[in-house]
Amino acid sequence: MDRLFENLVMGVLAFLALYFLFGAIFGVFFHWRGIHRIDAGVAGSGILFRVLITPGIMAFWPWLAIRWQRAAAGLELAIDPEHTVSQKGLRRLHGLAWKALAVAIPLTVGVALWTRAKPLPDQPLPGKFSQSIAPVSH
Amino acid sequence: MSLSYRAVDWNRQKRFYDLTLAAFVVLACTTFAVVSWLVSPNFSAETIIIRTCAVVALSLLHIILCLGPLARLAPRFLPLLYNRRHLGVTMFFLGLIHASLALFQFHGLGDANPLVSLFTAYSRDFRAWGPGAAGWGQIPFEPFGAAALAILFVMAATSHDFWLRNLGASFWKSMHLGVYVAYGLLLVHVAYGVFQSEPSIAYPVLLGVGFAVVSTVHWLAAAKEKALDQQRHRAEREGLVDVCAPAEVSEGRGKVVLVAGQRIALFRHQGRLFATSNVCRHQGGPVGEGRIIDGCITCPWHGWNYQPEDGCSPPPFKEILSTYETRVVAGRVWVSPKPNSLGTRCEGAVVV
Repeated sequence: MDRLFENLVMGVLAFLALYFLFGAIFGVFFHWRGIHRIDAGVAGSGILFRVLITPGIMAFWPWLAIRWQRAAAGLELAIDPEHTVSQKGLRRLHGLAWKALAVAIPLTVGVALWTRAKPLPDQPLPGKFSQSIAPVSH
Repeated sequence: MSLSYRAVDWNRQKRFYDLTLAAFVVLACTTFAVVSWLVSPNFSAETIIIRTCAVVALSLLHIILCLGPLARLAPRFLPLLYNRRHLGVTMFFLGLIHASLALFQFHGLGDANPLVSLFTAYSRDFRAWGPGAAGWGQIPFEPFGAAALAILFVMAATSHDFWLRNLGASFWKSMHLGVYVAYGLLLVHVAYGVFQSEPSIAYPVLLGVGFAVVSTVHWLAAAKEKALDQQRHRAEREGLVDVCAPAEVSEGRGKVVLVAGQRIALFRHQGRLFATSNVCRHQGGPVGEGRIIDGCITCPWHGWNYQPEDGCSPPPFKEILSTYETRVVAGRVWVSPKPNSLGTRCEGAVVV
């Protein structure tokens, strides 16, 4: 079971590494040929701007690739022509998030406090932290 | 506002904001590190740096979470909202330093891949039930921190306006609500991490106070917003809705009114009343809480400008807010619930 879990973790991390590696390679071509096609605001921007948006390109490269392809095909690019935000929708999401946090946080933190190990006097703490806080002996 | 992207649109306010932020980070880090060293002289330098970055990052996160609702409750907090993204990116980098050093100190010197070890080391020892079961307090806490850092990375990486435009404002704003998920994950990370290793009650008390403050300001702001949404207007006439008395809108100032369930910004400029959409085209800021500066409606969040007569940004910018017909009749302001077509010029209602 442990081995299976380790393999699963390694698989997920390998996938993420490949995803971001591909994103970095895509980013080079995107900066070179694609970015001007999808956003005219890039004209005249500096190198620091390009550096700042590169991590995002590595994360969102599939979305940008679709937009680049649409621009190359001469299709409509505007995601939201009016460029508006639904304040009501956002307020509803805010409300849901806070209701969830109001229940989940006191519950999980309460359990953590209730079940925390009680260290014995003059003994290092048990478990996972003992190594990091034990006195250094010379 | 700018026609072409820049890394940072520096101005005097942003410089002051960032200098203040840098001073706060340096002061907070130094204070916590010195106090930690005095209280626990056995701690190694790495441990003190790991804990310092964590505490300062979490403090910044609490401040960040309070800014939005505080700005809704009192306009004096609006300047703090102006460059909140730099606060967020700073908080992410402090978290990244914390995570990188912790990864090296606790997982980097073994024979397993440190990143694999991060997710498997404690879970290998943890048994919730059965023989050799550990207490629930021994739940592996590091994956919660890693998940929070991943969310904060996505937010920091997409904090530039380039992403706002290219991901779409609605998706961008919704994605950045992920900060609440990250906050929840970080509190769990702390509760099953430092609470288990530190017998002191100080950490739970500080975290509890922080959560109570953040929750309270959010609930207060939500109550204020709800009250606005429950406004009832008294009359309709020729398709227009009675919203307020003219005196309720001061010269050069705005007021948010509810018309047929939607929020509309009402402004008084040079003795005339103009109505526009309350949603800024930049980040959806509440335009009606802004004011008129140099003849333009100015969004209180990031200073985007619109002309009150037609809702258009001044040339060469191209953003447009919807405008609404207004009239002043029988000592009341009347607003049409139907927007004019974009860019329509309105004369405004003369305030007698």
